[in-house]
Amino acid sequence: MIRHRWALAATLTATLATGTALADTSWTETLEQARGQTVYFHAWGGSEVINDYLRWAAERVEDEFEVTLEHVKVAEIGTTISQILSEKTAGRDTGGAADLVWINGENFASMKENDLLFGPFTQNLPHYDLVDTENKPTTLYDFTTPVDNLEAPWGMAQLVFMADMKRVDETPRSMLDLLDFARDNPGRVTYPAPPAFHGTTFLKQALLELAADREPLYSPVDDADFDTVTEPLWAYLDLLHPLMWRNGETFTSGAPEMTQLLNDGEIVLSLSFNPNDASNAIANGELPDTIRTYVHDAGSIGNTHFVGIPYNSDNTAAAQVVANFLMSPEAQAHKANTTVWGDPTVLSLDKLSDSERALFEQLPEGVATLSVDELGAVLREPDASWVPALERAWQQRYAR
Amino acid sequence: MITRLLPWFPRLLLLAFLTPVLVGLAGTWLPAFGWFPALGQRSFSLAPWVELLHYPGAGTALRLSLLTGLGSSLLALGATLLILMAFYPSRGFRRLEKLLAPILSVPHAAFAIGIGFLVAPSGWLVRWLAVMTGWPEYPPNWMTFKDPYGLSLMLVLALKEIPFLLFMALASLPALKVEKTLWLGASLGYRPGKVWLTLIWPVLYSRLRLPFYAVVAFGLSVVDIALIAGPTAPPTLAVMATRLFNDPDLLLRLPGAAAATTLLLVTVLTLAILYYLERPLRWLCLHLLGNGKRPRLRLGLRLWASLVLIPGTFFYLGSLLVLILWSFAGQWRFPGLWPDPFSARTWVSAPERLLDPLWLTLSTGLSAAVIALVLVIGALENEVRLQQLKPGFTAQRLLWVVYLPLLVPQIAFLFGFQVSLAWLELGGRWWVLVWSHLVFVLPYTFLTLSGPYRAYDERYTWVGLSLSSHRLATFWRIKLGQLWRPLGYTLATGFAVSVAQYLPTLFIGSGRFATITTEAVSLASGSNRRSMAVYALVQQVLPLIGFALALSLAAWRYRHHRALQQSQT
Amino acid sequence: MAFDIKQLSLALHHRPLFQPVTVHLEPGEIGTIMGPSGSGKSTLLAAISGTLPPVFELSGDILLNGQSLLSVPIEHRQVGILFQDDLLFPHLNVYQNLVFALPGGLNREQKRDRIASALASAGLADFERRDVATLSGGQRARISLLRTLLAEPRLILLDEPFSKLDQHLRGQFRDWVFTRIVELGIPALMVTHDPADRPEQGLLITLETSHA
Repeated sequence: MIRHRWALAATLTATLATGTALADTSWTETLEQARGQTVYFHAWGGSEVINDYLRWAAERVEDEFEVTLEHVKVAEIGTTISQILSEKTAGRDTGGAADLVWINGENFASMKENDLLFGPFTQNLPHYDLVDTENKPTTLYDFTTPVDNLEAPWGMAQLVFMADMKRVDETPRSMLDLLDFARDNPGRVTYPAPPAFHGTTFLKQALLELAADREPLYSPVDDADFDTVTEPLWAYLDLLHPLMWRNGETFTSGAPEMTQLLNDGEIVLSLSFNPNDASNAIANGELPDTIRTYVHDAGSIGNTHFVGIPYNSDNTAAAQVVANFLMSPEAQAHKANTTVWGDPTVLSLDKLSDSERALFEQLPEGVATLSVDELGAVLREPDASWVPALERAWQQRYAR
Repeated sequence: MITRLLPWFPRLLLLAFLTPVLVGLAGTWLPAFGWFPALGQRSFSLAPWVELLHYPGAGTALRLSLLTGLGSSLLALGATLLILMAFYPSRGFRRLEKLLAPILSVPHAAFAIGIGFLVAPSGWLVRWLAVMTGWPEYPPNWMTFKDPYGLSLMLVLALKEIPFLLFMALASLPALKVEKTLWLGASLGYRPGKVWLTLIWPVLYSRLRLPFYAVVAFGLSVVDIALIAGPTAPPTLAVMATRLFNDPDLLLRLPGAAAATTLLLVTVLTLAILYYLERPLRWLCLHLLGNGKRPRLRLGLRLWASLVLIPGTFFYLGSLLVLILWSFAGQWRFPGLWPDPFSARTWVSAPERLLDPLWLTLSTGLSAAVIALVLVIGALENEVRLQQLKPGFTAQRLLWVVYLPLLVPQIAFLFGFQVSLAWLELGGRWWVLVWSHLVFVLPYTFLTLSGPYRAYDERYTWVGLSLSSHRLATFWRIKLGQLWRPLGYTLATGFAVSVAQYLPTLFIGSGRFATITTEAVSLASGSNRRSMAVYALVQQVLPLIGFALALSLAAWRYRHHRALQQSQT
Repeated sequence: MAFDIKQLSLALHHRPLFQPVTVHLEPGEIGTIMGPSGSGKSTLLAAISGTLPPVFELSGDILLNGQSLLSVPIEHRQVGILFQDDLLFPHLNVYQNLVFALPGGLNREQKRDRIASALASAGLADFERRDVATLSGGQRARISLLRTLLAEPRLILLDEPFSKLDQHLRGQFRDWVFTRIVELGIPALMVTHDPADRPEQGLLITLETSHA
């Protein structure tokens, strides 16, 4: 699995390792309470692959724990957060509509900051002990915001690029290389318009690669000289945009549209946060098998996605049972299967039993999947405060 | 007894929609002025407005909204006039009339997606070009869709609105005695074009005014089509407001509320301007009439109208065809004209995914349509009663109120409404969902039914009463018995409107209710065109079944009654 | 069964439509109302049938068998109306049109017999299943009258009932209508423009415009 080379990790986890020894008795109680409860899981519903996976999970938790799992398919998790905010505004501190939400990054930071999350709770989940917090530090720091056991790790993400090898001889090895690539392939490269998630990530990746000094990016943006730090980024984009799809006058709305355009042949490069996305899309016929995954030499931004429990859920027991199930070796292995979803696991294979490990080792290799070595280094997300600043500056320059 | 209940129907009607709209508006204005206790914002200020003003691209977004919203509405109105002038009344028009209902039930998003796939540089049109001429090898880098100026969005919107305006016009035209007027004009030496512009149009417009305002309001505030066909950097104001409402930075919901309110203000202002422009324009029309000129110039009306009709029909049929093809696609890359290979995979797995949402869509849609029908019949009966009391009474005021939910941008009140529902602990209940659908189903129910209902000859009722001495029997067997066609048609319309509701279902249902439309929209946020196409088709087929059922039931009911066999909808 | 109109006058916005009218009709007697257009003939009929819009001010009284009709709602007046349009219900066949008028309390057999004999009496035997839209003008007019009579009214109002029929049908249908009314022995009041419509020796009421 993905081995992260971030040395800081070990020390960080040590401070946060929480006493899960609190006893199995409390977990038995949780299981007891959860019986018969319904969990409304608000999660992005744009992918039938993921929807099908959650349907599978719903059947499993129904069978095993008598918990009903309802996947509320949202186009954007922001609408769910609006819902919770509405409830909070109205003083509905119990009986909230959502019991579990699929979040990470800025959304998590906002929910945490505004006390919209239940917990800490992950330390009580038996399967949390299997999470590879040592080598996957992003399971503890979500876009640099400490997780503090307020959300349960669900899957690993790393920014990867996809190329249509039918038309691409050599994939770009860096952002600067991408500029040359765009020159050779005018109109065939683009990225989503920030504040779309993948668009913002592209900006961060570019900034990490281009910045003279990365250090300021890991402190709050207010402490840095924003203009100086970001100057190379804008200079780069000013050069790139005229070479892009539609001459950079319009952008895509997100990674899904990029995938469509890649399939249509309008562009030859796309991006994703799931290293197995291409394999999965090829397996289910959504993309042709000429698509390959690649990363830049300098490594790429990686993070973790999580599930959290809204503060006003009445079904926290069942929500924890579901969160725990989603972290189980069974569910994680099923999820990692490229013909199912292909979402990398958060677990540490070393912590699993032989039979559990076998579940992962038997998984078929996806055609467009990169080996751990090929995936390269995981770059840390810049400090969360850089996100709104970058988005705003980008809009100011290119979306007026 | 029932007669005594009648005065309550219009009041119930008002209660049913005004409450959510007003409560919702107020609930959105509070955060727009800085009040958002859940985020620790407890003081009133203009800060959200200032923030909006300085938000990158806000000005452009507003300009884009005005251009696309107003531009598309005017285009649609002009095209409607042109088509009517060229072809009404004629036999071909009869046929067109029958096509309008199914065309109207095409979901917005599906239509936009379909058109995108036709006109995009990798779309079907360019593929035909590529296959026939060998050029281009790869999709050209043209700006034929999602252009930053909003032109493609404007065209898609206009295409979507023309059938609605035509439909509304056709409901009013029989009363205007077009044929007679044209004949009269011809006998005085005026060409039809001039007669239309000076005599018919001013009267027709006064009847089309409210539907046209609804079109303008819709164009200014539409989100789903703008996401698919509109510019991205910056987007239109409605999309920008939606984005701000969904931003991970929760405090952006305040300028978001300000943006939604701006949208409301802009809508009100635009409508007011349109209203006050009417007089000078009407004067101009009469002036044209008064000048006595009989221009010999042939306008070539039919040619121009065909230039609207043929591409319009082409886009509707083409987008439908493309959706069907995508739903059966395995791989389908440029420049292939057909999917290669075809695959029924998405359809095969559809039933288990579709069953629950389908059931909820049906039950909600039918409930909303039936309740709306009962309320509207009650209100119209009350009108009959009032007309009896005060001859010449018209329910103009009621009509304005009925239209209100169509004139207010949805994002301007849904958030506030959601807060009040949470406060009343009513969120996530099925009947509240039905209620929220009613807000939008009612206006269309009223619009569809009022024409034929008012045209009913009340003397049948008098005869029935004098014969049977039963009010209810007379009403039920004689009046409603004759109105099966418009009643069925109205139910089908109400159902279609309910099926199409996305934002209300999402906001009011607290996500507990997944309908075909919410599933379709959430899938549209993904990348798989096959699933998208399957859901869009199901979403489209449901209302169609409704219309087909309504019309064939009426046809069956009147199969032995020649006088009622001709469509009168 | 006698019918009386006593000093009846109708006014709109305090302006009387015609001079007060007094009429007395014996059972089987057919009165004819004539008068210039706009003199309020149809409004007078509306007042009697119970469909008068409340904007009209009414004074005087209308009595059937000595009982005032004024406070009785339309459906309980038992006053039959025949308009110049036949107003046959287009969504019902001949039988259904007629059965709608029959009083309650009859069984199927009785209903069928009554309708069959009514149709036979009008020379329309075996017309039960016919779609009313397929009938000729004269046939429709006859069925319309049959329908009114089957409801067993105590008074019949005829609002220019013959004006839409062509000349040759007209006399024939008129005679037939009058015969049936006389047979039934109920009073009838007819509004017409055509002096020829008036039965011989029938009472003539001429509405005169009020000069108040």
